[in-house]
Amino acid sequence: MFTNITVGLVPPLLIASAFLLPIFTLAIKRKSFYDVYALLTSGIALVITAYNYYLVTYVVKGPIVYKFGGWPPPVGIVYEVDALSAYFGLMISAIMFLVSIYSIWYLRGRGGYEWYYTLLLGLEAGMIGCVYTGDAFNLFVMIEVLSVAAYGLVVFYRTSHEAVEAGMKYSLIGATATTIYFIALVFIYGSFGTLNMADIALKSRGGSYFPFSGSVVGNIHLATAIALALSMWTFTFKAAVVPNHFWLPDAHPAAPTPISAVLSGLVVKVGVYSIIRFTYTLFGMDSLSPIANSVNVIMKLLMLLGALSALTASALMIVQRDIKRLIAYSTIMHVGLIVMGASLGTSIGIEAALYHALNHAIGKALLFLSAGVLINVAMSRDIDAISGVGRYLPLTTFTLIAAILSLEGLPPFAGFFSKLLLYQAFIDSGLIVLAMVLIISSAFALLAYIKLLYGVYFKLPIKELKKVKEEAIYLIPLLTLTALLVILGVTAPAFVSQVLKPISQELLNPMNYIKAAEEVARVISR
Amino acid sequence: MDVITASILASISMLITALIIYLIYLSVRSSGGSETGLEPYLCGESANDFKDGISVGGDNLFWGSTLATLRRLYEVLRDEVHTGVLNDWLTYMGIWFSIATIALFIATTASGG
Repeated sequence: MFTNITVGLVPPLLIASAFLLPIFTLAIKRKSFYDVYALLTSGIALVITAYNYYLVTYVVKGPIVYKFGGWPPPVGIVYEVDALSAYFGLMISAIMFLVSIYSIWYLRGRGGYEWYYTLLLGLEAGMIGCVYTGDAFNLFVMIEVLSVAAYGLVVFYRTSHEAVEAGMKYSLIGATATTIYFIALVFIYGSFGTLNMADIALKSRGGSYFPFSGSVVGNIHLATAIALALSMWTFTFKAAVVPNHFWLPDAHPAAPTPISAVLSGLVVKVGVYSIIRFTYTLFGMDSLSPIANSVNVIMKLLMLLGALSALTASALMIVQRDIKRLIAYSTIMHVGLIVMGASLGTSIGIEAALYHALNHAIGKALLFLSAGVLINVAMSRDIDAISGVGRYLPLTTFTLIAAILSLEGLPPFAGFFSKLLLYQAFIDSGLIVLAMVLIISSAFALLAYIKLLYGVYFKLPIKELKKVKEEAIYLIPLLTLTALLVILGVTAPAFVSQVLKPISQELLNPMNYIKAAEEVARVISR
Repeated sequence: MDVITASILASISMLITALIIYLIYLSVRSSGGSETGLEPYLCGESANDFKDGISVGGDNLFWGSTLATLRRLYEVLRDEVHTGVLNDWLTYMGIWFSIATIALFIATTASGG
């Protein structure tokens, strides 16, 4: 049994920092204070999540449980961090830290920075809370924390009718989605008598005894089927999988650029994480036969929706004139590919999906942040209006090209290797159609990216621009993300075997996850 | 040799080749820029005869033909599915939920659940 306070520390720390920030506005007006405040907080979160990853992977070599208020699972809420949670947690905090650096430049000369940072820290707390929690109800709470912050950030420019409309639509359907997940929890609690993830996982596999927990009630097979249908609807909404994707192309472009990067790079990954957690840990192919059948059916449906997402979104990328909208559609396409890999149910499928999730998060954040610099110079999101602006910003254009090449899947960038692994996973499973979907969607996306690159760099500017000086403050995150794409690419074999293989093994055999929580409860029950 | 190592070696060789081609290009390129591709395509007629008229740029013809080929696809995807109307969205989202519920119900009851 291993517990550590660092596992339970990050979301409360971030939420406390977010709530304290508005109080400081009563006394301090200087923007630099809030820049440093957000940077420090996200920096601390990065250090702690990196430490948690180190603990889970190299010290404990298994999940770590933290009991809130000392209450044992399943009575109290616990955070349970396994290799999957630690992987997503580190990915989130690292990109959020780089976005905080970029935000210092982005918010220069703009008002409302104190509210921006409050919501940004709240968003990070929600995301890390979602991936760290070991409690299905706490996942609902953390999705709400994440969502409320995301709605606020989408309508950050309150005078823009586009932002308000996008935010209204996003929040209306988002609230419906979280309510539907709540109804799924009613079914789970009503039949399993618990909301602890490890306890549910044990009972779905026919296990009977978990300390402090009752026995199952009624027909858990049917209740699981209903709960899976309800929760997958919510998670596909959060992940923006077709047909639950409609909100994304409106919401992501309307938000401030650093937030677009976070929404597209990270927030949708919380949906992906939840899908994986529910279809591998809570319920899985090794669950009781009717439950395993339900999981199998939902995986097939997700595979189909993933393919539809990749094809639909890549086709729609071609006809976009708004640079941020084009990138937003690319997010739907890549999430489709990730979901296709994750729903294979094989070790290589999980590894490919997780690898592509990370590469997409980095590549997409880089693409949005680079585009943000171009938009700032051109004062427009129209690709025609950005014509030739890349000529004035060589380093930014270089990072934009790196992001595009990685997302398109060209070596030596990491995106190539994750697409290759996805391709291999589809072929290994005998699903040649999915391999073709990967190729066709990439071909469609290439047309859109060519249009973007051609416009940004090769076309002549529509108006003469003054000499533009590139600044270190935004180049630091851009060049760091570019370097990460290359490093993750050239170290692909080691990364897959050292980082991704243990995660896929843990997901395919969740007994370690169950035992870690059970042992914590057992020690207290003695 | 496994497929990932082969890909890394291929990438490095591609990079070196690209670098050599770029260096050759740098050594032979002319100092002035080219306007080829930006000039209007006029079926072989002299551009001077038409310089005051409105015409389509050569690069736009590519997009014109691409979009014309995919016209039917976009009529469905953009004009019928992505209408931007909230009620339409909810219809499609509701269909997915209904299919999932029915499929899971059948799968569970068929396996004795």
